[in-house]
Amino acid sequence: MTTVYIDSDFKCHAYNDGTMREVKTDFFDGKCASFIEGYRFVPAGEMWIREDGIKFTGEMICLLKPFEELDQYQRQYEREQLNDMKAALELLGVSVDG
Amino acid sequence: MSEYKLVDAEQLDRAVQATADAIKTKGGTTEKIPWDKNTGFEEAVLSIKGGGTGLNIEVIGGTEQPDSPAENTIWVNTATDITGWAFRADAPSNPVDGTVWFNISSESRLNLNVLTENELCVYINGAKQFISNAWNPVDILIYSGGEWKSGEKYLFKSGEQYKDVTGGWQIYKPDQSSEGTIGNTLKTTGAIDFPVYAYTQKSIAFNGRKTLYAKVKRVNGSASAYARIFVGSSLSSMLNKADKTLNNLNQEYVIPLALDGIESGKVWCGSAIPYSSSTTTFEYTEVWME
Repeated sequence: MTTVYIDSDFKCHAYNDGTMREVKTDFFDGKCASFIEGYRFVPAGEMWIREDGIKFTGEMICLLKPFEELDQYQRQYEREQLNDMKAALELLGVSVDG
Repeated sequence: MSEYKLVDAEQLDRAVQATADAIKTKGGTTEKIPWDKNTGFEEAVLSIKGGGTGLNIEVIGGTEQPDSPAENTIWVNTATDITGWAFRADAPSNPVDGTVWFNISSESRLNLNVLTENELCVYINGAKQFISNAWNPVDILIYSGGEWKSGEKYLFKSGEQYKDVTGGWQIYKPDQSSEGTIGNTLKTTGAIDFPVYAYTQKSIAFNGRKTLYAKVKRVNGSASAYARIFVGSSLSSMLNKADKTLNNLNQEYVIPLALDGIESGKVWCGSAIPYSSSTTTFEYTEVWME
């Protein structure tokens, strides 16, 4: 489960600025902050009204930004994670291929 | 030195006028049409947009979506030249290569006012182009009300799987104690911690549509179980999702899911059963986009 924070417009944040609500979901497990902040989370029992007037009741998780953009952030994050892991293993004297 | 030909001026005037009138009728205009001394009415003839008298539509083919379209422009996304088009409920007989058939329907969010005065609407529910002796589905967009709209609305309705768009629906079930069938409804029976889904075999191009809807009812089991819909390539690659508990048995609910930020993806409809719930069956009767 990942803890994220939502503001008054249900936009997700990786960190709480002191005004946000905490929600837990496995939808963002393993996701970087930039990915998380490209989403909106509407909790069960609550309603978000989109600018075109369409009403969405929770629980709903939907995008704020194009997925392709978030996917690039996530891939970069995973590359960095992998490089960090390799560096740590090398420090421990473990041979790492590739 | 130029050659001169002797012609009956009055007869020539009548012929030219008749030609001009025919061009106006065909093109649905009352404006003066241009005459060029070298090319005659060529420009006017080439600019005729559609078949029929005074039709208020323009059909444009190509692989690039038009910029600055006029209202009631239909863009057919195709690399094959369009040689003609027809609005019909069934396929045209004896088509030539390149013919586009706009499938008209009594149910579609897409309607065109095809007359410049008064109103005669046709409802379009998809299009095909005749290429190499076969009808091939083509994507269309219609510029209506100041925005582009797509022709295909439904992904599933009362047993119709709209295979041209969806590729057909399939069942995903990870466990023997869960079940799913595709018949008059998309029926998913999920067991505890074992979700079951019906999903489209093809990735759906949403073409600017903003909302996915599913009409569903719970036919047995627990009120705390979730009907879930999402877009994505797999269970581990959800792009979005909507969960809904259906408190009342056998009552239809509509679940909307925002498609913002998503251009395309497979559509999944199913059950997510929390540990505290019992095996629960959901039946999806309709899935559509707007």
